[in-house]
Order: sequence, then C-alpha cells, then structure tokens
Amino acid sequence: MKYRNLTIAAIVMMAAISCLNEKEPAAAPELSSKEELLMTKLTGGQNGEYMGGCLLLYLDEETTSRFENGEDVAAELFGSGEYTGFEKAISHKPKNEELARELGLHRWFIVTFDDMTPVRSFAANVAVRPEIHAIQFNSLPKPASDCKSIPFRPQVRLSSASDGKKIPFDDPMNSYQWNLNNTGDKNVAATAREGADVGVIDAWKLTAGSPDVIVAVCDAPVKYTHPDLAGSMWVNEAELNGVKGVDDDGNDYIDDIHGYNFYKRGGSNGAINWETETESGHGTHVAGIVAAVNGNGIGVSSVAGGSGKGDGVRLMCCQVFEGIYSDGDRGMSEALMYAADNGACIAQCSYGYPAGTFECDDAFINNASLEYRALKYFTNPKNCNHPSLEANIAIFAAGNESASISGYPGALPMCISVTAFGPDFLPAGYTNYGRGCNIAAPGGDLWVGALKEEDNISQILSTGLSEISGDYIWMQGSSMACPHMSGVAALGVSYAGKLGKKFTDNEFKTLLLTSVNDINQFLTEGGKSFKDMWINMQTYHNRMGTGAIDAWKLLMQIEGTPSAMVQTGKKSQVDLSEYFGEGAADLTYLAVEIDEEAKKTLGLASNPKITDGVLDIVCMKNGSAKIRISAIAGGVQLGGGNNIGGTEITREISIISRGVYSTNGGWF
Amino acid sequence: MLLVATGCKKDEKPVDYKGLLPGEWHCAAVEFGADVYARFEENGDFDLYQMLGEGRYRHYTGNWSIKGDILSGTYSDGTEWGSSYKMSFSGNDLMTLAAQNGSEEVVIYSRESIPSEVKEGCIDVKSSFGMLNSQPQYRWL
Repeated sequence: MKYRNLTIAAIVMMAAISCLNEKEPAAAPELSSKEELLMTKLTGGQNGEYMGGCLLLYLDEETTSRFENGEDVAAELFGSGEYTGFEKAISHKPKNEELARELGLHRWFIVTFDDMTPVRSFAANVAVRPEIHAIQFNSLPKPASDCKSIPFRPQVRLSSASDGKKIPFDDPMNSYQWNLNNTGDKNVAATAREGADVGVIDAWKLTAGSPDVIVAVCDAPVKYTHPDLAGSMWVNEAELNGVKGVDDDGNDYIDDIHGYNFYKRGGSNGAINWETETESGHGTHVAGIVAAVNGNGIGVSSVAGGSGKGDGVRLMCCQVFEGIYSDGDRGMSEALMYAADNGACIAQCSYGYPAGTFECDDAFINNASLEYRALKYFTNPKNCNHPSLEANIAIFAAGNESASISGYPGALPMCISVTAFGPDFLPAGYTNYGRGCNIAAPGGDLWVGALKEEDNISQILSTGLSEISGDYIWMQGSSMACPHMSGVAALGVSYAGKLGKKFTDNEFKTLLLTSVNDINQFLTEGGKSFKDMWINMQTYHNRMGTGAIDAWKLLMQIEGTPSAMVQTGKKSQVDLSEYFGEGAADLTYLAVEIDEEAKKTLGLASNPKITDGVLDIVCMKNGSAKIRISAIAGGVQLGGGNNIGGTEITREISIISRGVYSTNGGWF
Repeated sequence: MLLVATGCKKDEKPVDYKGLLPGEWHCAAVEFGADVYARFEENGDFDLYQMLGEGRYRHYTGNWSIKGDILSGTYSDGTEWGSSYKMSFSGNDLMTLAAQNGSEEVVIYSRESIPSEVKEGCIDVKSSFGMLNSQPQYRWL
C-alpha cells in the first residue's frame, strides 16, 4: 500500500512546484514523452510516503461539470478496465459550496486502481489527458508521536507547589499532571522546574471553557464513550435523535453523532472505530488533553474541560487515522471541511508530514494542493464558527524528527506549529524546532524522567483506550504539545465570548503567540539526554517559537492591552515583553508604524526604534496615541513562497505620555 | 481626567490637609483611557487601583505623608512616587494634585467610593517593574 520513492531529482521537484499555482494549476504544454508531461502535472507526494492504488486528479471545469451532470467521464479518461473507481475527492457536499468551488475543491477527484499497478506508471499514462490539469500522489501524513503508551498506575505521591497552587478539580489523577501544574517535584524529573506547565490554574478562575467552542480533533479515533470524555463530546442532536442509517441533519453524512470516520478505505462507512489491531489511543489521548471532563471525580483534568458543571469546550471527532492507516491527503482534507461545516472553530491536528518532506511553503502548497485548499476552506472568514473570531484556527504539531524545521502543514503561516518541552522547561529531544515553529507547549520527555520507563511520569497523562492499554495512559510527542495549545486557544475563545469581544484573525493569533513565558533563558548553556545522545541546549535558543504558552496571560491579553506610560520630554524605554511575551527580547521586529496625527499628539521628534525588545521613544507632549508594532512569531524570516518561516504578528499599543512617571508603572 | 492649568487660590484660613485627604477618590482620565481610584487611610497607608487600557485594575499599595500642603509617597516596593504634589481642596469632595516635578501636571480627583468589583477583580502588583525590568508579578486576589 505504501511506496517510497526518493530518487526523484531536484529538478523534477522544481518543475512540479513551478508548474502550479494555488489558484489554478496550469495546463500542460505539448511535450514529447509521457514522463516529461507527467512532470509538468505532478503536484506531489513523491518525496515522501504516498498511498498505492490511487491518485488525486485536478480536472478542468468542463469535465468536472460533465461528471456532475452524470456523464461517465472516467471511461474516457482511463479506458475501461484500467481503473476500479472514480469519484470526487471530497465526495460529500460542502456546506459552503460557493467557497469550495472558488477554491477549486470541487475539481479534485480520486481514481483508484489495482494496488499492483505502480502509481507513477498509472500517473504517466493519464497525464496525457488534457482534461487532467494536475496529478497529486495521495501523501500519507503521520501522527506526531511515537504512539507508544504506558498505562497509568498509582505511583509516588507528588509534592504541592511552593505557592500553594493546585488544580481545583477533584479528578484523582491530576496530581500527576505536571503539564497543568508543575510543582517542580523531583519525582517527575530531577531537573523539573516549578511553573514549567501551561499556566492554567489562575485562568480557570475566569473560564474553564464553553460548550459553544468546538474543537475538531483530526486524529485517530476519539473514544466518545470514555467516562472522562463522554460529557465533553460534541453531539449532533439531529443524528442522535434521528433514524439510524439516515442523514437526519442533511449535512451529507449519515449517523455522524460525535463526528465521522474519514478513513473510507477501511470500510467503516463513517462510524468512528477504535477497535483495530494497530490502534494506539493517540486520538483519545489528545482529546483528553484538550477537554477531559474536569471535576467529575474520576481520572484526569484537562485544559478546557469545564469547571465540573458541564461547561467545557466540545470535542468533535474527525477520525483521519484508523490504527496506522489513513486515506492520506484526501481524508485529511475532507475532515477539515467537515469540521468547518459542522461548527468547529479550532482544528486540533497532531499530525503532519515529516520535516523535510516539503522544503518551503510553495512546495507544500503545490505538492499537497488539495489539503492546502481544504485548510483555506477551514480558515476562510466565511466559514468562521465563533462570534469572537474572524476565522477558525488550525493548530498543528511541529513534528518529532528532532529536525531544525517544522513539519507541514504546521509550518504554513496560516497555521500554528507547536513544539514540545518537558517538565524541565527544556525542549524534548524529539521535537522539531526552528523555522516554521511558532510556540512551545508541554509534550513530555521520557528521557528526563526520574523513574524507570514503565513508571515514567515525565510524559503526559491523559485518557486512553481500555481496549489497548488502559483508560489512562502516558504518551509523549509534539502530538501532546499541540492539544495543550488547542486547549488554551479554546479557553481564549471561550473567554472572549464571555466578554463579548471579537478579534480579527491576526489579532487573535497575535494574542495566542505572545501569551508566553520565556524559555530562551534556559537555552544558553548545558544539555540533556535524548536516547543515547547528549543534546546541546544552545541549539534551541530562539528556535522553539515565541516561548511557552501561558493560559493566564492569554486571558489577561483578551481582557485588554495595558498602555505604555512614558515621561514627557525624556527619552523613555518601553519593555515590549508586556506586549510580545517574555521572549520579546529575542523576537525579530518588522516595523513600528505611527501615523502623522499620533506623532503630532505625542510630539514625536523621530520615529521610535526597537532594540533587544525595548522600544525607545521620546514624546515632547502630554497625550495618548496608538502605535503598531509587527514582529515575526517563530524565526527570523517570514514564511511564504520559497521560505519556511514564521507568522507575522501585530500589536497595537497605546502610549501615554505624562509629566509624572513612576518606574513601577504606578499612577502617582 | 482633568488636566488643568495651575491656579492660585488664596486661602483665608488654614486647611486641614491631613484631615481632608483620608477616604476614597476617583479620577477618570478619559483621554488616556485610564481610570484611577485611590484610598488614603488615616494611618498613612494608601491603595491605588488603576486601569490603563488593560481590562482589569492593577492594585498598588504604599505609604503617604504630608508636609504643609505637599503630599508625597512611596509604593510598597520602595519606589518613590513619580512626583510629590501640592494639594488643594474645593469643599470636601474635590481634590487637586499639582505635580511638583516641574511638569506642571495637575489632576483633579473627586471623592467617590471604590466599587467593590474594582477591588475584588484587581491584580495585585507585588513588586517593582522598572522600564527595563520584567513584567509585574501578578497575584490573584
């Protein structure tokens, strides 16, 4: 079923990349050989693993229209007996059909053929057809975890935090959840640091989630009957109360009560299925990190699982893996569209293509064109599913190859790519880092654990599958970091909704990526173990994204942005960590914008400048005005085009210039 | 907020500044997007609640003292106020503080109870954070 072909020359890749653009793959020129023609139409997958027995095809509008009118175009394209199936890649009718068509999603088809037929050979044969504008190998993303799990069993008693903070829910296993409340207990890791967690304890006093925030878990199956998850599952009421085997809500999916299984080749007919031999519990574990039910007296606590009153965020299961198998780009794409069409405002995606599969944004856009378009569908403002947002948010794991670039799709500027740290606040040895990585979160680190492997509690404890290894299991990976970020984002959306606030897409992503604690301070010297290696921490300096996500800081930023007070007539320095997070000194700043009226109001003699995260400004008049500062979240260059890089973030800051200034910010 | 020109007012009898200051005061600095409440205790303590753009009041504490008609103070973290202030009162309910640092900044406060939601939802600023220092440390109250 899987083929790996690493022999394609770089020039072929370049030809494939350059022959397409995201809007409209170019029609092929007349070429002499099938292989040359294929090169002009081939969009991707050949540099990584892809699925055998099928191809994704992008047809012209006319042929697409003929197919939609019931004509048998497959026989024309492939000849009888050469294929076993032909259908739309997104076989279900999208809710926002106009947008789907605008993005060209209706023109993607999947053709299936004998597994024994080499994919490349079949592709070369069909490339001669002028109706086929582009050909994409059906790439196989992977979960961003080794999928190894260790069952939970009662272990050493852990100490409480020095500041007395504790998880305020009665879930009995939560004393082991250093990711939520790291007390620095040395039983977790000899190097454990108090506060190396997701900063959610105080945040829960403001919100622990909201049922109108739906997180689509695009992953292996979520066991929706799990006693710690059942209360957090999204419920499609029409299907729940409808007739089995009938599409009661008319969304083109039958019996999708808690989500859908997009692994069609498994023959599940959409039923979520966790009872397969190769299942690991990955999706169930990820879901529990986001929203295992808090305060129900059993199991674990979670980031956004409510306060014990049924008020947590909701989990939508978009099953894209069944055990180790998936439907590749096709399944991922349809899952994202389903999530958009059925109310999810956050796509939690702990999967991706291994780092290096795509060298730059354009390579992904053109090589995984179908999935890119599906991401555009999910994040398009027209499909936004929460009144506090302008657009839905897609969050991906950075990947686990210890590579110095993020995997895709997370590396795209439109997505958030999450790196992983352990209970010591240090990068886990497996995590990808560097270009394209935006932010860090707890992902666990087996190799710093204080206990033997089977007892290791330096990983992440969450819900699991009793059918496999246990109802509660330890796992590690950027797969585990990613749902922490999704959970915090979900808390942020919940709180914004509670306050009746609305943010643009850039504003909300900026809030997410600047609500961080500095981890660069720990990445200046020393190292740590990883497998049989010793890894140098300096390698990771300023390459883990903007810093470690902190839920409390996010909610404070959602409440409002503090003004910067400066003293009239004197050179003032404003520490930007208040606005760009504790890692502000290490960020790359793009611009300081201030309009003429604001300059006049503040009596600015020259444009403010930023050095090492400090804004130098001289105001000659009393007054207040806003300035805009933009920076790169993740790396020193922006992503896009031939780059793999960070996301542009922008803060608007009010400057108050007064005659009285106190160094601690006090009014008097 | 009221920033007004400093004016001279001829007092015909001694003003009991120490007697007039204690209590709760409010200054709405609308053009700065700022809102400030202060409580001065008779024992020389003060509580300051200020909101400058953020969505939650920040709470400072410290001590005040009066010499003649000049009010000065120190925050609990040891930071001196940005200025001392020349005080004047209009009746019992309006107080004018004129900065004495050469800036000529004058702010008028009205006597007003501090709403309970301000005090209950505030963030306590525990330590100093100079311009180049790290963020204030928060404590949930």
